[in-house]
Amino acid sequence: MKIIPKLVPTVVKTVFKKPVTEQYPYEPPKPSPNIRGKIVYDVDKCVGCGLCAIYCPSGAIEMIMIKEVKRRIPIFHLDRCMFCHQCVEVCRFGAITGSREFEIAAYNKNELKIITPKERVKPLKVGEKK
Amino acid sequence: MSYAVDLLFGPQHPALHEPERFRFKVDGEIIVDVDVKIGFIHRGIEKLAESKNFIQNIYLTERICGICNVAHTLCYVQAVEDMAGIEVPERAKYLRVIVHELNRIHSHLLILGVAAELLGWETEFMYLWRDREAIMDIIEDVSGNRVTSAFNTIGGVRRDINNTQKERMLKVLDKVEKDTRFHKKVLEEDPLYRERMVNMGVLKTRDAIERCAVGPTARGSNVDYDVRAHDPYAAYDEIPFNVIRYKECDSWARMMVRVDETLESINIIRYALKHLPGGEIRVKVPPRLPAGEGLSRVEAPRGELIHHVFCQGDVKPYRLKVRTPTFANILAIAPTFIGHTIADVPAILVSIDPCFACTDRLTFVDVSSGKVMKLSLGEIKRMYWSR
Amino acid sequence: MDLFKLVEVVVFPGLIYLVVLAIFFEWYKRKLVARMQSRLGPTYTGFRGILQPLADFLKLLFKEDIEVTTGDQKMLTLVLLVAPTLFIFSLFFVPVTGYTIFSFEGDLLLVLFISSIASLLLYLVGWTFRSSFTKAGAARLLLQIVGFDIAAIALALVPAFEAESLCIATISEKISSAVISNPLLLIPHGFAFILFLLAQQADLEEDPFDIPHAETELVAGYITEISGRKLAFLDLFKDLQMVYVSFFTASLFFGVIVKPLSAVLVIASSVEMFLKALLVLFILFTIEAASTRIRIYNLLDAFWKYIIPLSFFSLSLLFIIKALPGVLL
Repeated sequence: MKIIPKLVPTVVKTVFKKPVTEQYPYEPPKPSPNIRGKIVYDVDKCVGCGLCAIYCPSGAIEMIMIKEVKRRIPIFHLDRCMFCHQCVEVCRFGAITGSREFEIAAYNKNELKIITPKERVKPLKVGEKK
Repeated sequence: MSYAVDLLFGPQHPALHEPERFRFKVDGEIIVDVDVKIGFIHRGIEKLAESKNFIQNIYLTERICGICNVAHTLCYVQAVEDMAGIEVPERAKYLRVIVHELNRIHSHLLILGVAAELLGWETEFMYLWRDREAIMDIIEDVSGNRVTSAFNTIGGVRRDINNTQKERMLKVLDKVEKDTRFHKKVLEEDPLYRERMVNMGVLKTRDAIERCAVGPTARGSNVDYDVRAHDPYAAYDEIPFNVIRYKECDSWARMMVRVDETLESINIIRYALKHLPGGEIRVKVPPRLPAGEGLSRVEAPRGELIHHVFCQGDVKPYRLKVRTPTFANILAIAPTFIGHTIADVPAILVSIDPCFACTDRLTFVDVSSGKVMKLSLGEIKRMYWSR
Repeated sequence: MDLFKLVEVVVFPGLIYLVVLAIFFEWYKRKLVARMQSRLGPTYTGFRGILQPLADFLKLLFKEDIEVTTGDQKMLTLVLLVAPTLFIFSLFFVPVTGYTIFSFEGDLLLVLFISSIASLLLYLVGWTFRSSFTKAGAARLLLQIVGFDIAAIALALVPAFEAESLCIATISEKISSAVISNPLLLIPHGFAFILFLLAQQADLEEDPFDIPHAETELVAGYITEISGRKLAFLDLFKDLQMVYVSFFTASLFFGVIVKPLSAVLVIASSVEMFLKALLVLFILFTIEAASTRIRIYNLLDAFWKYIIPLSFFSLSLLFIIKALPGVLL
């Protein structure tokens, strides 16, 4: 009896149990409430300090100058982002927050950029308290 | 007279999950000589670290090894803290231990599954990875991602654990413990698994010490060596645990060390959760750190890991040196292939839990004079094109 | 009469029926092993993925055939064309539907001979290339054949002696009544059945005996250099081998209980044989799922030291039980 593999009873039992596979695209995913997902940017709170771009480990944040209102805002390249949320941590004004969204696959890299439209960007009032 | 022929394992081979080359001289099925060629997956992370600031380097070191990522970040931040003389809050130390041990459980269950798969035992592989999924879920719950947890930071940890998470974790740990005990019984008693693993790649205690084996490879050879116990970091000096050792010195013993360490890790996490102190989870650290150097040793799932950081009073490290456990283990294990058959190669190789991408470093050596050279990128390109 | 025979050979229970069965058994294997491993298995193609093996086969037929210049491609093509037909031919003598298309006294030996030839043809597949992986796989395959073949032949003779015939159709008819009339025969019968399953497992190259194409050691063993259409035919060959093994074992050791006398009874008995074949495969796949691969030396050890002596022991036990009433009276 010593030559019978130990898994035989388990294997036979498992046939009659429900498989554990989750058919992901056909079934809704069950992520934890705490996951780090796509970042959300609020242009109204941003002051354009650029700390997020300095600290981003993968260079996913690019600061651009908007000449019309004379201020800098970040562009987020989500194709380079690795969801470490260092920018969320480093932002003192709460302009960048995390979300739970993680299904962000796209056919085109340009769809993965978070670009704020120019009309939404208001000029910074110097001396205003946040 | 021998009729030895070369049998090349790799750089691409189903038994190797990363590109690395083993040249076996085989006589029939018996291996008479082995030549390990590492260096197929050099990534230049140490050099890259010199161009990034201390915070960015946390995420870079995390990517040295995806599976033991917590060990790498922990080792790196401890080295930086050692350099800058930063004192970490008590609660952060305990939280670091918890995530580090969760990472160890996940890594050990993973390699046990891979070992089963390499021996053609797909069912046990599926079962082990199915049970590992529960651990991945709590890592996701605690840190925010299944694999790259990004949990440690310089001066503490980035997230706290609340009571509901604690409850959830304890419940999952009970289940994982039950599953691991089942797998321990199977791996201990299964006749075919024993047939394949027992007396494979025997690394005697003396040889293990002589060849500087670390981690489960050393402990499977009955070497009493565990950084957690002998040079405690984080909160390990306050947590009681056993150093697992096996006397058999073979592949089977090395795998059983991992099974028992999984059970031990579960107990460590339970203890840490029960005695979790209150207070802050991190201290504020300035971006520019004083000049100096720092060293840290961590018991990664694969063995002892060393990070060495130099700084010249900048926001970036001047030099980061990483010594990964696989480099020590692969040289220790290579001579033990001799005398076994081709069929035993996966069984021996998997028992050190190889992680080649972490291991590869690059040095230019002039073969004729044995002189070590320093070359710039331009010079390398010129040499390449003027071949 | 001849036309009827032709329909039998080509459609039912001949060529087309057997190929359909082969594809179904491949699906059954994948689904069952997946469920044993707590997975889902094929899901998308057809009802519960039942058409997945067919889809794979067709896909491989359309793929580019990468011909390795160091291999003997003509030899390979010839082998792969001949090999699947061997099993179809030998299945004509096996009561897949309860009755056989062809039958003569002594066809058991012919069928055993053909199955050995088929295994040897696989060896030729590996030997036609110069790659070290295919060579090592072919050498292992040859050693494996030397291991299990003698045991398989000796064990196939156990039901033959029980039913006192060398014709598979007669054996499958008489085996149940022979065993019932002398319950003592159950001991060598059951013994031989288990050992025969092991030998057939080695023939099918499933775990623990998937040594010739051990993935993590020899990449794919003797199959390494084959691609496209040739791989499709090799897969069909392995599937037909599965059909052959399951029905051959079922008809030798379980026999046919429903006699196929009319058209309705033919369907009933073919369903019966089908279920028995599924049962045989269930046991084989349970062993496959629960065990690791062993080394070639272990296999030779196991067969030459234990299984071959045990199979001759069960044969001699059978003789003793058969002869016992005559001696006592």
